[in-house]
Amino acid sequence: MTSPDLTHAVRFDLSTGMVSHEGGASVVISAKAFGELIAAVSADTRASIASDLGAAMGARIQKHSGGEKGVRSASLESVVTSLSGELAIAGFGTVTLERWGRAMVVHVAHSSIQAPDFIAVLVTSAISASTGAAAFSTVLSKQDGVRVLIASRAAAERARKWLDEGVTWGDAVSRLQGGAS
Amino acid sequence: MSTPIIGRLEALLARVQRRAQDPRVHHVFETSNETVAPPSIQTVPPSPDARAAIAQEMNVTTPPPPAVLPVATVAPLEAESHSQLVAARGIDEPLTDEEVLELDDRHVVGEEATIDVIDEDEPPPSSRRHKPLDEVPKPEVPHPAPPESGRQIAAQELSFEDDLTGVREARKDVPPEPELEHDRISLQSVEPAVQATSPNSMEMDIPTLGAPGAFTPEVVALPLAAPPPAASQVQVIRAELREVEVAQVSGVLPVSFEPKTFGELLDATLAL
Repeated sequence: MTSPDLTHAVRFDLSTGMVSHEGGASVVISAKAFGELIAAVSADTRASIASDLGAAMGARIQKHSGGEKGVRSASLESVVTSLSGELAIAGFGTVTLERWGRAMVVHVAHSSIQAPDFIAVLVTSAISASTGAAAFSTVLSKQDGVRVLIASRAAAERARKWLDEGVTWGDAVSRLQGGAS
Repeated sequence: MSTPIIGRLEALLARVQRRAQDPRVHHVFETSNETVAPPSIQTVPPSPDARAAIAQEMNVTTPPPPAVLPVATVAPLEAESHSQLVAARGIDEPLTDEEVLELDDRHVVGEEATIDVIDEDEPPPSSRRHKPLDEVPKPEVPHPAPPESGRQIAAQELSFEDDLTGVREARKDVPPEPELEHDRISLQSVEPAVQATSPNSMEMDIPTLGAPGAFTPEVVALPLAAPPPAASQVQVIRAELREVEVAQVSGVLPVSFEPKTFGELLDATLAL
């Protein structure tokens, strides 16, 4: 898997007044308006919007990676680069992948949208759509960007419970892997 | 006029001679709490005519009359002596009947009594007075200022030995200090070469006399530590170790998780 070629990924047709991204019609909207929009809707609607956007990104990553197997067999750096490119074109920031033992933590920074839950669902959906795996997530930290734990449903729920009890996100990740703390 | 006197003296002499042959009786003064003044003695020197007559009758040679000295008696410390000093009159002056004292046993002085000859320079014993210790004049010490709250007055240098024991310290004759000037002398420069290189050498300020050459400073080298032994006396003992396998490793360390693909990491994190 090579790095995705993002040349002319977004096209502006001034004669018709249309914007397209990878062939799909798009709308350019300000980040403030988008933020007010997702804040005004319900949590399920917000999660649905984020899931749809993430699935579209995952589909494009899969397309450029040679399918589901291509993404799985690709290196960490390659997948992270594709994922970070998708978020950057849409204006949601950059992606850095952190591996804490066996746990995968995605760090999203420089996002124009100050909605951690929305970002978490967006990233998780993109990974699931690109790999075909049922992934779940929990927001670990909201400082210096958003850190999202990618895990199973049960692990994500345990980590969320510990965080609500005051456990630090580092200890929560350690507990998930059988740590004493 | 001298005839009656001679007669009396002859009678007196005869009685004295007679009593001199009798056994001697000692009178001891008993001391008591009561202050008793010892009997006063008045000595009346005989006239030269009487002395010559007595000498002629007794057929003895009389020495020249001794010098008359006042006789002092020993009195208790706290009692005042009632003795009176009688000034010696001239030998040629005739004595009256009242001035002649007839001596008897009462005037015999015991052996325990002592008679001191008083120096003419000293005042008479009656004018002496033993002062109690309380009346001994103390050196005037400036009274310290009243202490303030929470402060203690530093004790001045008092010598109680002088007041109570009467001990007097000899006056210390401190020679005048010569004019000193402090010359900084580096001992390292005058020490031997071996000690100059020693880390124990010190530098001191030694006061010297003003005149150069009048005082030769002594070089003081203070060895703070024992000098190191000679190289021939050092014995070095080294350990001899053989090369052996001192450690034995058992078991296998768990292989750290190093995913090579994104799929491996995804499966691992979904398995938590």
